[in-house]
Amino acid sequence: MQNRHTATDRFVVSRDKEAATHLSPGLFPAGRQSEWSAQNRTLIFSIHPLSNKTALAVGGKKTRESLSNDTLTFDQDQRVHICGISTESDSRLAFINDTHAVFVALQQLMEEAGADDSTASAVGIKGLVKMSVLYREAMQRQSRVLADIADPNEFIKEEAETFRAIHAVWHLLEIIYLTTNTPGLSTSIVPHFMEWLNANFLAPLAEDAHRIAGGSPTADDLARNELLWPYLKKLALRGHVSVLGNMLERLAPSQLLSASAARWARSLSQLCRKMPLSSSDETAGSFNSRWRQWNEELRGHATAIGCLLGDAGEKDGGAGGDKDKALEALFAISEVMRGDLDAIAAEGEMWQDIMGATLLYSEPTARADRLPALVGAIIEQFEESAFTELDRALVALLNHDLAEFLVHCDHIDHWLSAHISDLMDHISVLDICRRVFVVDPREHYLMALGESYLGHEDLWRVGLDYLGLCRTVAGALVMEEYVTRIPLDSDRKAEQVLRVCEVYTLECARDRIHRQLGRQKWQRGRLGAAIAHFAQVCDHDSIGLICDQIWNAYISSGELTYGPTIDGVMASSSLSEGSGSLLHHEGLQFLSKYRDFHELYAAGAFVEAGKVLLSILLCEIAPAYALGDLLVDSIPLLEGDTLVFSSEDTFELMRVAESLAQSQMRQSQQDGAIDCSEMNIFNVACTRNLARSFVMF
Amino acid sequence: SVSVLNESTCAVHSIAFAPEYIHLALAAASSDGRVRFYSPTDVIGLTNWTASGSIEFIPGGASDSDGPLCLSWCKSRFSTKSMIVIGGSKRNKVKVYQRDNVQQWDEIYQLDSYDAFVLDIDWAPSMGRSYHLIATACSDGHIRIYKFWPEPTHLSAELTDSLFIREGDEFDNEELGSAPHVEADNGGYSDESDVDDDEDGEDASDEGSSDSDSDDDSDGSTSESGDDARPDRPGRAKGSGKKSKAKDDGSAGKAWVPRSELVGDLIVDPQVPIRRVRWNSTGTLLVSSSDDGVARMWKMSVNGTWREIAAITAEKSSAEA
Repeated sequence: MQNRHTATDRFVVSRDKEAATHLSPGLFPAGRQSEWSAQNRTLIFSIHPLSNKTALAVGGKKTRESLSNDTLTFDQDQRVHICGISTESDSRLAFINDTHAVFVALQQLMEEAGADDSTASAVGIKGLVKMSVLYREAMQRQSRVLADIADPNEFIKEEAETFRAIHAVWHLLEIIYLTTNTPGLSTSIVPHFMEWLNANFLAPLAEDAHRIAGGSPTADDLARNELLWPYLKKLALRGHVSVLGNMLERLAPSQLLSASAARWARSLSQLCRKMPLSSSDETAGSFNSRWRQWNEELRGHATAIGCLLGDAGEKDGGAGGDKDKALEALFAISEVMRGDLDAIAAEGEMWQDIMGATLLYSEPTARADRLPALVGAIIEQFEESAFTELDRALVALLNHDLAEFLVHCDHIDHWLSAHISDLMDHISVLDICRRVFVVDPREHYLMALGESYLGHEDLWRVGLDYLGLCRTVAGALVMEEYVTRIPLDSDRKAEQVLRVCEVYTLECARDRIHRQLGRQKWQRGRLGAAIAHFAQVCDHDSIGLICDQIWNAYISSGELTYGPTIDGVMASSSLSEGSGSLLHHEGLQFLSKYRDFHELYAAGAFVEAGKVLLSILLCEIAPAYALGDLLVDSIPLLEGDTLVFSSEDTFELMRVAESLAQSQMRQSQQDGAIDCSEMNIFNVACTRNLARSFVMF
Repeated sequence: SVSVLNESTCAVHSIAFAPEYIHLALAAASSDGRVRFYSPTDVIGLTNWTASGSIEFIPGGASDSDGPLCLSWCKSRFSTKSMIVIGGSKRNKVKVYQRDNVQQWDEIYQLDSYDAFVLDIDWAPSMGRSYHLIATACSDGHIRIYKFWPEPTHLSAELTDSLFIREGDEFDNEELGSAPHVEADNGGYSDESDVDDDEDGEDASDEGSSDSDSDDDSDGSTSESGDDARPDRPGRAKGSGKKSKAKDDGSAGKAWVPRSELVGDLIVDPQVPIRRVRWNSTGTLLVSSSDDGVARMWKMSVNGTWREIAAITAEKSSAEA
């Protein structure tokens, strides 16, 4: 018993952090909830079948009878509020649709790649890189759209921040697991990391550059500018070495610099130009030796400047603040570029800066597996409680702690966790996480995302796709459950839903939806459409009932107006495969032939009409209640001038009449009851016709 | 009204129709401690209903002061027999019953028992999970969520895994022994509860006592609980039963015992009773409402912990007049 509880998660709602949404208007005054509860009141609710909307109302705890008669009731007791967790805002719609298309394409690509084993890995990585880039382009587009909004409110600002974070996270994952694994490219992560750093965490900003270097300042202007040295240091940290070199070159002629500062500025600028850049042609060994050379030169510079500073410090006061500042800054810059970790740590503001400079200057050929060691040392210098979710996610990713990474991604945004776990699954790095978590993370996040879209009128289709493309049993079942609850507001929407059922082969759901639509259309009088739906599910009984209804309408009105309906049904059934059985349905055949009979009769082609009538009776496709009417219809043909029915035909008619009379006597049913007088007329007509037919033939 | 069913002479606290996969039936729990089942003789007209079985939840009858009964049907299509879970009674137990034939219901498992009234209970739709989820709402302000396995899990989410063991494998000994918190206890539970309801000295567990490590705060760092979960429950943690194995039904040996596990204990305020808990249509969201006029929505995170994702209060905001 002890053990049973230790493993249980006990979660306590913290009252301080509770940021509950208030119903508006509220049901009881603030702070008076115990009073409200003591008056036999509590909150009851019911959940919407499709979205997560909830209907809330006041409920009682004791029965009405046990309360005294003078208990008060209030207006609020009779209100029902409907609330829901907010679904996606419209600003994201384009993004969601774009990325949904990429998602679907990615699944297809991986399926095809999986099918053809020989090219699986080759197509895989390149294809994944392509897809990853497509995703990032969508994120960048969305960021631009958000940035273009004039006068953004809080929500838009948060969204912009979120998308920046999403892009940063995604980009880093792409670098670590995809770009550096692409065959043919260098596996050093450093150039990619710097690219990532500069793309996602802009520093120095373009404004700084403009403020300092814009308007072609002279060397003196530059030297006077207080923002210059911090700017140059940032350039160094971020690896913008050529720009740094240019700036130093422009600065060097300044009169405000001391001679030594100017000399070292020039010298440093030359070194900047000589910085070795890795290329894919070069071997690691040759690059390393070039790097070591360059590093040695830098070390020489740094030492020399350091000595100068030391000397200057010994002299009293010296040449003044500026020159010292310049030299100090140059010293710092050269220390940074030499790869001195303390200098880098001193200059860097963000941990990402420090990480980047450390990689670039001290381990230029580092691979992804060096990252955990480096990041661990750097993070120790920072206050972890000040980290944002983005920071935590990035650190977890650099540490290759993917489970932690996913959890933080989920805190950033649900879209992110769903798609990134999918990408990770295709890269085959998700299996590690599967062993850590209780449920499959990809399925969990995709299903959560899909469910959140279902209630949205424009995104329900996207939501269903996410559920379906989970490719798990649970996903399929949840999808089947929800697809039958999508409200079928219009024909077009119904068609879309049915298409979804077809694509994902949800037979049960398809069945239910067709039946539901059939009933709907039947009630609205669209009988042809109703028949078509019932035919899709082979519901012959319902079709039969509709045929009966058509027949009864004809009988009561006397006018045969169902012709076009039947034609439409038969035409559509000959086109579509599923309802081929329609052509064989007795009720429809009967109605169709009876219509033909009417037309022939109206056109005066009595003999043909008679043939059709007889064939209806012989094939026995007519329902029992119609037999009487058919026999009555035959009377004018029997009595007419032209001989329509031969003796055999007449005998057939009489046989039908006799069996009808017998069954009526047996069951005393009123269906198809034929009037006695009509019966007599019929019998007389038959006899006369027989006589004629004997004479003629 | 179409029909009036008045076999019960006491107040009826809870009624529920059976899920659509079973034939039309209605269960009604009344304060005399019985749950009665009704089926219509005429499915179209629904005018005539007959009582078709009952469960004496409180042997010997009960009175109103014993607290209300609440019930919930199992909505799974894939269960071999229909099941219903009932909560309430003098000692506030929660038990699962299974129907063997049309009229006969048998208790197969006691889920738990508490020191406070069980006010509501709901059985989640199973949606392909290999386990069932049942949530209970109590007057001590706790919402408890259980995983429940009534049968050997031969339906697994990972169909590639074979869950059947050959004869002679040391499954039972190993699993029953090693899974520390579930097997032995619950084996004990069902035996004891079958014997005598009065013997609740052991049953009335130290529910709500302090032996579980409570998370201080809902500080999203779920890696800790993830870490805790890992060594303790190697196979059990994954509800999909990926590593757990089940005995083939036909084989001789130990009979399968239903088992459960408390996976979430959500506390709002010990002074505020939770009146109602309901799962959404796929069992992924749990909504609760309590006497303080707050409706809360709970979701399971990826490492199995339950967290509040939204709260709606009926209280007027201080900004409102």
